[in-house]
Amino acid sequence: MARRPKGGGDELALREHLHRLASWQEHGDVKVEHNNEAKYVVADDGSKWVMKKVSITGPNQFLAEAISYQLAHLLGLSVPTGGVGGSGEGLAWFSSLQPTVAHYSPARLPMTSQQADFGRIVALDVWVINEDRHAGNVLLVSGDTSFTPCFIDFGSAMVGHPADYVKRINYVPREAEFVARTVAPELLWRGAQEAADAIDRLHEDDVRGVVVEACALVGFETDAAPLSEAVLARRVVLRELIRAFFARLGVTP
Amino acid sequence: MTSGYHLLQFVPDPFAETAITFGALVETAGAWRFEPAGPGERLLPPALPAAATTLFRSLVAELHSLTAPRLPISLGPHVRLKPRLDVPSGVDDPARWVVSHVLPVADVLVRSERRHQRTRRSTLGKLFLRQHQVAKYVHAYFKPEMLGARAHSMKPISQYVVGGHETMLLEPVYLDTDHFEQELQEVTGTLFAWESLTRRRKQQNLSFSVYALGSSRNNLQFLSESLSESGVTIVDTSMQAERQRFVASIRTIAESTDALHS
Repeated sequence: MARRPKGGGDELALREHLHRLASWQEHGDVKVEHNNEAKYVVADDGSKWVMKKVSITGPNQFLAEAISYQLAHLLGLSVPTGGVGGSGEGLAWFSSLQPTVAHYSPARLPMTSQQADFGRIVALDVWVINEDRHAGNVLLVSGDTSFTPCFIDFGSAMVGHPADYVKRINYVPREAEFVARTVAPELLWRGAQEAADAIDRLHEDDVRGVVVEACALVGFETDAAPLSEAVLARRVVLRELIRAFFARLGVTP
Repeated sequence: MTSGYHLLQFVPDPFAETAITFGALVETAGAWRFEPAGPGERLLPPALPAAATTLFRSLVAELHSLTAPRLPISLGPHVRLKPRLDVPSGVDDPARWVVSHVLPVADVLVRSERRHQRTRRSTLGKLFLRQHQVAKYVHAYFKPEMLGARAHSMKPISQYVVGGHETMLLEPVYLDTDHFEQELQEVTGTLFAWESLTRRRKQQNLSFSVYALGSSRNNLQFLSESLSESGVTIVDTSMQAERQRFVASIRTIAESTDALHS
């Protein structure tokens, strides 16, 4: 029987990294491939977001986004602010709109700053087992003279499927389309090592808190404890997994 | 069989939905190519932020490489491809027809010139140096006066690294810019003038390097040929070994100053 999301942003006190949206107006579809039926919305306070309804994406995708975005924020990674609105069948995941963006292209690399971030996101993607990092979910946010990477769409991360994730503590993700293949390997390695250091420094209670809250949002309370422990257990072996992931792609420092 | 075309629109804000037609993908003899509107970025409203202009330039550069009437994901959400329209039968040059008769032309515009400057090669150079954590060793503008020379009208070298026994002079070059030839002339002219000056003054502790950013192999070849009779070292930063050697040499030279004074 499919699980129905319950609870939601209306009923729970959200952690500091999640924004609560009380109401909003839809402004049309996001017209990019791989957008997972995302829509532009404006909240009543005028803030602009990209919305994905749980009724379309399913609760597992919501869970994956909620956990991954919050971990990303704890680590200071380049991701949009996450938000939650609605409840039950009306529950939706929101990510703050990034203005003036293109998507990743190797041709834009000379104009892209913070390229070590492509390595940092590898560390998180390996941790949450996200095997879907392609150009469609790597934004390059335009500044006056350069672009800055920003990473979106964690909906495919296996951490959103607790029964699968807990069985794969030592699993090395496969990357069908490793988007950062053309980034300098030394920058990828440096970013991944820095993120792994930051992941090591996270307090266990904070990691558990992220997982428990996200599970509660979608009504997966019984998964919260085993999933938290699996996320923490995978953290212990994360550096080896990152090394193996890079080795599989032929990325050497 | 008629040729077709698709208008391209830049939508800087998906909420306001302002759409600026800035070009078209045009089919000529079965092949598709991007044709920009004559006014180029002067089509953009002056009120748009500089970031929008930077993005627009990058999108246009990418569109020039398209060969099919389909937008790659990398272009992102700010470019829209409109449905196919037909060029009238009997038109010999579909591209010229679309540019002349469909796309915006200069004489209907009242916009002023864009104020936002193109990203300079020195800015891209600094970006590269920051990524590799050696920007702190590199200074801007090495001038003739620094050698005690009086060639005041001579252009300074863009960047330099001071070491205990050697000064490394650097010029970044962006291979993928649409005004590469102009920049190449500027860089080679500057470097040849400096080589001549240092030879006359018998200056022996200066080295010259050009580090090439971007991917155009043709332009890298032009660069190499242009400097083939100079003593300038060319670094292709897209090659891992060359890039790492270059970064290491900056660090080594800069830190030799510390060693000298410690």
